[in-house]
Amino acid sequence: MTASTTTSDVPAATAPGDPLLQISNLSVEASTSAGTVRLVDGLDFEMRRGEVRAIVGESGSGKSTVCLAILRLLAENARISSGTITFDGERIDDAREPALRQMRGRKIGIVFQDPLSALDPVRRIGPQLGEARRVHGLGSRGQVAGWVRETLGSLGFSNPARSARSFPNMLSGGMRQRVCVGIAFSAEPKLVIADEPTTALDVSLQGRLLRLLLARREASGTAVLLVSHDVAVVRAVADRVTVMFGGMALEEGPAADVFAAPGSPYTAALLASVPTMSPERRRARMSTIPVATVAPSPSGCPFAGRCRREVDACRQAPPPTVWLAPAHHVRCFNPERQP
Amino acid sequence: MNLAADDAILTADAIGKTFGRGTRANVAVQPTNVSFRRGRSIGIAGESGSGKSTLLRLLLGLEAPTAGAVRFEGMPIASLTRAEHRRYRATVQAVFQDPGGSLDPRLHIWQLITEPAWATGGLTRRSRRELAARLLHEVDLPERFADRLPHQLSGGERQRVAIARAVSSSPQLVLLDEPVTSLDVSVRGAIINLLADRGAELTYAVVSHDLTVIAHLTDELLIMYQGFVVERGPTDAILDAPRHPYSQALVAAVHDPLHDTGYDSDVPAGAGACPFINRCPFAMEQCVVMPDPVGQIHQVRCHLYSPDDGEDTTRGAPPLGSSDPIASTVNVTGAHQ
Ligand SMILES: Nc1ncnc2c1ncn2[C@@H]1O[C@H](COP(=O)(O)OP(=O)(O)OP(=O)(O)O)[C@@H](O)[C@H]1O
Ligand SMILES: Nc1ncnc2c1ncn2[C@@H]1O[C@H](COP(=O)(O)OP(=O)(O)OP(=O)(O)O)[C@@H](O)[C@H]1O
Ligand code: SF4
Ligand SMILES: [Mg+2]
Ligand SMILES: [Mg+2]
Repeated sequence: MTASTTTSDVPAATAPGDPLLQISNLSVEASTSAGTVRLVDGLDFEMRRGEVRAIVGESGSGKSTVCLAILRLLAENARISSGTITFDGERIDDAREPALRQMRGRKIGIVFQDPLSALDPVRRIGPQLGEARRVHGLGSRGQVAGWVRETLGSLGFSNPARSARSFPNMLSGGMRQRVCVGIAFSAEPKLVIADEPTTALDVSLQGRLLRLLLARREASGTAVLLVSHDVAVVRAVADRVTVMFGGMALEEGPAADVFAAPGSPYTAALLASVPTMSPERRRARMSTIPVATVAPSPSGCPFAGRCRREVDACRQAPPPTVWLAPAHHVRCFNPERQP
Repeated sequence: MNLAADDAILTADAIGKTFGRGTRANVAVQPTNVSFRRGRSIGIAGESGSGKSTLLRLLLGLEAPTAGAVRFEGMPIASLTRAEHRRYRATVQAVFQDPGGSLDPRLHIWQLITEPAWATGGLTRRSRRELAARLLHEVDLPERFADRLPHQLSGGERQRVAIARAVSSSPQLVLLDEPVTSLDVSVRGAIINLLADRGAELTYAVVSHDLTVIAHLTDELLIMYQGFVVERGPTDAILDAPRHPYSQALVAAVHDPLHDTGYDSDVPAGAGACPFINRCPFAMEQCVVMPDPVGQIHQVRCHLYSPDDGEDTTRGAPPLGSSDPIASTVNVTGAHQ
């Protein structure tokens, strides 16, 4: 589904239906005391308006790095070493800081992975939540204050007035996380990048937040790039999914297809590790993907050494792209299934 | 292990915490008893803002209770001598909800991860580096991370550093506040297995919204809602047959993240009422007064249960017939499709 956007602020080059975000061949490197390390390796994907794309993958596989690269907020020692990022018809991988400041918050809302440290500790919640609306002229002072209370209510705060007056350290972890989600959507951006936005929420609030996110997409066509380790969450809300491992997107396709019939051995192993709550499994050891006995070779597939479908080629060259369906591909020498 | 009941590491008698006063008072934790006995790990689940982190902070002495006292070796922690306090610090370790923020950004990972062990003494610089390497290995992190700073690690990598750090000095009780939230299922499984393996020497308090984590690591479970412990009992009994309507919703939603409990309400409960009253599909007239706990081993605070119900923990659904929307979706045994 492609949501409509008001035509006035859509550049001529981007008629509805054109991609909102286009990432091609993106690589990110960082210099460390032990030399240069590659954090993201040749990533490609596109997002359309109103689309929900999830990135799932191993801890440390580069998910947050992708988000920070799009926002151009990489750490000092890290940089985009190749590739392009186009957002809303404009290249942003080489954009300058003033243009980027315009973009962050206003056009792209952000929920950082560490929501607890993302808020200003010495300012009250209400003004922080309403700031982007005030700065961008989305309503008078009074209207913004009303919007703040309403938003806190819809985010499940039982006492919005009290919470608006609170300082961040007076709120619980999940409350702060919800405030961050509210801030990300506050300026009615075209894209929200949300890095693990529901980690601190119990299931009932999590459901509420996800339903809210989908409602925003319906109402104003906001696209969402959702990083989540929670397979159930991704399955429930994402249109498309990118599966990352060791800096590489090993699988990319419609969420329903990827979860129903994974093509990458890593995706299959990940899904097989999802725990169940059945009483007989409760005390049993949790399933994991066995760790590598031999380190993967830097030029081969990052999953080699842990993969049960590994073949000799896997250590010699980067895995080739194999299309399983017109919009579903894996990078693998020996995929779980053939086209 | 079969240990005497008085073998408590830490006990809390009717501890409570109220922030602010007068009309602005916010009761974060209603007076509650908790006792940690060796080998009996306790899980705490509940909604966001219900007081879980505050309860852990009270146990750690980071927050002073406004009611009751936390006792270590029988002494209130506020009145421990220096030596006793040092022993308490060595006995109780914690992993905070915000692992990024709780690691000193200027220290290297090898320093951070060995800090508690270093503080208890007996380590040379060389053995400290070796310990760091071993700890990193235990949580599946490469040794080369030792010389990095916290911001050069991913969220889940920092979380693992915090866990390794907490168990490094061989404490007896480890308080874990949402310890595995940033980990993918496979790494999470590895960490839970590691913690479970140490479960013979270590006792845990685990706050988690992920009930599979609680199911794996804990023997007893507290379910909190707006400061109240609304249900407590053996973990398995609660997960198999949750009794409080909030617990039932929590368990039901495990396999369905969009699960609409259908009764979201932002209207705060009146003073003295059951805090769940405006979201509860079973709310009755009596519910304007918070009931006392019913039951001994498996306790619930809800008017649907009366003291004469006995300890029948297998009876999960409230007396409402099979068309009840919550009871019919409770499906803890359903495997992932
Ligand atoms: N500034 C940096 N310098 C060097 N290495 C870094 C830097 N930032 C991140 N890394 C490394 O890059 C890898 C990818 O990190 P990233 O934060 O993108 O992972 P992630 O997929 O978001 O993981 P998680 O799920 O644990 O948050 C990690 O192994 C991390 O240690
Ligand atoms: N320093 C403080 N000053 C005032 N109120 C506070 C303070 N710390 C916590 N609170 C309040 O106490 C209540 C309980 O907070 P707590 O952090 O214990 O919740 P929690 O159960 O850990 O929630 P979460 O799952 O979201 O982390 C909340 O209403 C919160 O606003
Ligand atoms: S390329 Fe080889 S090692 Fe990598 S996932 Fe495919 S089969 Fe496994
Ligand atoms: Mg991350
Ligand atoms: Mg908390």
